[in-house]
Amino acid sequence: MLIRRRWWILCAACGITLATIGVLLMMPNMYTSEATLVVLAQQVPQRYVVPNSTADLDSTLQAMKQEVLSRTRLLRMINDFGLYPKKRKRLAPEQLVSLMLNDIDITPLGERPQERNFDAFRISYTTDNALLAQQVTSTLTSLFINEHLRTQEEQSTNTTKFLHEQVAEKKAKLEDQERRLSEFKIQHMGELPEQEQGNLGILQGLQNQLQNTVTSLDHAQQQRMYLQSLLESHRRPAPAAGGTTMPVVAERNIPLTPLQTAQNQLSLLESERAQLYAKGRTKDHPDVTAINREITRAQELVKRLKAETPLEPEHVAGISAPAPPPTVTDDPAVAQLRSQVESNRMEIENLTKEENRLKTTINQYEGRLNQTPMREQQQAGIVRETEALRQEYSELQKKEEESQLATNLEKQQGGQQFRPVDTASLPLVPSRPKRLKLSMTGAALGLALGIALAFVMELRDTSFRSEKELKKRVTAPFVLEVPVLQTRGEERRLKLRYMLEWVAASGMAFVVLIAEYYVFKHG
Amino acid sequence: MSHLRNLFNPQPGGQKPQRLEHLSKVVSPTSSASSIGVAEAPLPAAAAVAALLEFAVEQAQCRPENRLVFQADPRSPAADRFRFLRMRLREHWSAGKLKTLLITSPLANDGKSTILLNLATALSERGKRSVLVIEADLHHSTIAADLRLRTWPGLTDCLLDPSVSPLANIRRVEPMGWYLLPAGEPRRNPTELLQGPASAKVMQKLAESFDWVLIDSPPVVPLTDAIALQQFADATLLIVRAGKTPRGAIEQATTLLGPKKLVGIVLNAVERRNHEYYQGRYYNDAAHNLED
Repeated sequence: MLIRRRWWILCAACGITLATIGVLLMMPNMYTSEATLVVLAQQVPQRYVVPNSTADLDSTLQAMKQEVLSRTRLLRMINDFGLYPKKRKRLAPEQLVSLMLNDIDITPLGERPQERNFDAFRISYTTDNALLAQQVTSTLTSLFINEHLRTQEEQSTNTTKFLHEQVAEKKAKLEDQERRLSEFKIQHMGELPEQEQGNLGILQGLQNQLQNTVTSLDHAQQQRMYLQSLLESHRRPAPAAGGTTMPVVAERNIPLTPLQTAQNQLSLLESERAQLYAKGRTKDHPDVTAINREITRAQELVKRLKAETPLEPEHVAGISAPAPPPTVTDDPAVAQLRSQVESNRMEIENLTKEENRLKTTINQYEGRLNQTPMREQQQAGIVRETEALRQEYSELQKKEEESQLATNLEKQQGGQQFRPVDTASLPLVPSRPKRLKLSMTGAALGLALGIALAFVMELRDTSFRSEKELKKRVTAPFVLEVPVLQTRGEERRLKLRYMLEWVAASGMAFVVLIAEYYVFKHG
Repeated sequence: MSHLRNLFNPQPGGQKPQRLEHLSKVVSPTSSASSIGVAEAPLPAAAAVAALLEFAVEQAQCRPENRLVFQADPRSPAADRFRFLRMRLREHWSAGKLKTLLITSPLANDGKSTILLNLATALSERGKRSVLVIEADLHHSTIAADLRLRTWPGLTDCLLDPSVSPLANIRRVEPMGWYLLPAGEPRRNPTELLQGPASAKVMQKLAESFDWVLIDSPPVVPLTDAIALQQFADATLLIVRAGKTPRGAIEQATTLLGPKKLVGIVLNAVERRNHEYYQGRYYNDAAHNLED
C-alpha cells in the first residue's frame, strides 16, 4: 500500500515540510529577556516581630501581578517603549494589553512550584528586539520590587491603624462598664456581698446591744417595782406607768382586778420577749413570732378592760407616772424614793427608746442581709462583663503593639522583600520560533498526513488487487489472475517513469534536506 | 513480447514469420475444401466442417497495442495464464457442458476484449479447434477495428435479415487462426436486435458449426445486453480489472449474471513482481518443447 500510494505520501510530506520551513523563515526572530527575583524573609526573627502579612507567596505574587500588570501600567509601558508599533495603529488598547500580557511570563521557581511552594520567580518578556526586551524586563522587575515594598508597608500601617481604633473603642466600652459597676455599688451600698460579713457583725453587735438593753430594761422595771413597793409602803402606791406594762403588785389582802391581771400578763410576755432578743432571736424567729401574737392579744385585752373599768389611778397599767414631787410634809425617805422612782422612770424610758432604736436598726440590717444574694448575682454579671472587656482590651493592646513593631520594621525595609538574583538579561539568541524543531515537526506531520491520506485513498479503493482478495469476497468456480500485458514501449515508458519518479523524489528529498540544513544553520 | 515485433514487422525482403507461413498453408482465401489436406494433422469434425465452408481469410494487422501475448510471446508467463484458463474451460468442454462462452465484464475498459482475443487464440490450439468470436457488443465494437480488419457485414445484418446466413459473414482471422463474426453495421436499437427472435436462431446455427463460440458482450452493469446474450451461452466468464473495477460493480455483476452460468472470474492486469511469473518460464519452456 505504501508503495502504491507513494506519491501521496511523498507530496504531502515534502509539501508540508517546505511550507512549514517557508513560514518559519518568514517569521521574525523573537527575543526573551529574563530576570530572577528571590523572596527574602524579614530580617528580624518572627519570634520577636510577627509580620502583619501572613499570605503565602503564591497569593502575594498573584496580587502583585494584578497590580503591576494592570491595564494602565501596561499601556504606559507600551507608549513609553514604543512597543507593537505596527499593531498600535489597528488594534484597540485592550487588544494591545492582551498582546503584552501574552508576551510577559511570570514563573515561580523552586522545588515544587506546582504545589505553591517556591521562594523565587522569574520574570520574562519577549519581543522582536533584544535590547527592548531587556529594558522592559528591567522595568517590570523594578515595578515588582517597589510595588511589593509599598504594599507590605501599606498593609502593615493599615493594620496598626485599625488595631489602634479597635483599642480605643474597647477602652471606651471598658470605662463605661466600670462606671456602671461603680454606680451599682453606690446604689446598693450596704447590700453588697463584700459587706455581708460586716453587716453580720454589726447585726450581731446590735443584737447584743439589744439584749443588754432588754436586760437593763428588765432590771429597771424590776427596780421600779421595788421602789414603788417601797413607796407604797410609806404611802399609797402610785399609779403604774403607761407604755410598758408594769406588773401590778397586789396590795395586801386586796385581790387583783382583771385589768391588773391582764397588765401583769402583758408585762410578763414583754419580759419574755426581751429575753428572747437578748438571746439573739430575730423578730422572724418562730418563738418571737408566737410571743408577739400573745402580746398583741394581751394588749387588746388590756385596752378592752380599761375601757370597761373606770380609771383608778392606782390600777392604771403603763408607765409609772412620775412621782408627785415631795411635799413639804413628805418624809425625806419618801422624797428620796420618789427621786429614785423618777430616775428609774427616766432610765426605763431611755432604755425603751434604745430598745426600739436597736430593733429598727436590726430590722434594717436584716433587710440588707436579705437583699445581699440578689445583689451578689447582679454584681457578678456586671463584674463578668467588665472582666471580659478588660481581657479583650488587653489583647488588643498587645496586638497593636506587635503590629506597630512590624510596621516600624517595614518602614525600615526590614520585612519580606523581593531581591533580584539575576538582572534582566540581554538575549543574543532568539527564543522563538524554534525553527529546526518546528520544521522537523512539520516534516513528521507531513509524513503522517501523507500516510493518512494514503490510508484514506486505500480505503476508498474497493477494487481487488489479487486473486486471493477476490476469492475472499466473491464466490465463483474459479478465479484466475492475468498479469498486466505491456508492450515494449509501455515497458520502456514505465521504466522511464520509475526513473523520473526516483529523480523527482530524490530531488524533493534533497530540497527538503537543504531547507532543513538552512534552518539548522540560520534558524 | 519481443517476438511480436518480429512477427508483425517482417524483415524487408525477408520471409514471413514461420507461423504465418504455416497458417497460410492451412487456409487461403481461395482455398477449397481439398486444400485442407495440406494441414499437417487431421482436423476434428467441426473444424472440418468449417474448412469445408470455405471461410474467407482476413489478415489482421496485429500491433503490440493489441496485447495478443499468446500469439506474440507464447512462452511468456502471461501466455501461461491463458493456457491455464484454457485448461479449466476445456474440462467443461470435454464433458460436453460448455461450448458457447459469454465473455463480459462489470464495467467498460476492464480488458474484456483483450482477454477474449487471447483466449480465442489459446482455444484454437493452432488451428486444432475452430473457435468463433462473435462481436456482440453492438454499442461499442472494437475487435475488428483494433485488428485493422476491413469491414464486412456482420451480426446486425444477420439479425435484421433472417435470410442472410450468419455463416456467410464469418471470416477467418489470420494469423491467430480463429473465426470472426463482426458486429456489422451500427444500428440504433442494438439491444432490441439482440433480444429479438432472430438471435436465438443465429446463435444456435453458429454453435452447431464450431468447436468454441466466444461471445464478446457489452458490460453487465450499465447495459442489459449481456443478460440477454447469456441465454444463448452455456457459461459466462466475467472479466474484472485489478485496481480498477469496484467491488460493488463486481458484486452487482455476479448477482445479475447469477451463480448457475458463471464459470469463472478473470482478474485482469494484476501487478505482480515479474519473478513470480518468470519462475514458471523454465518449466513452461520444457512444456512448450514437448508440445512442439
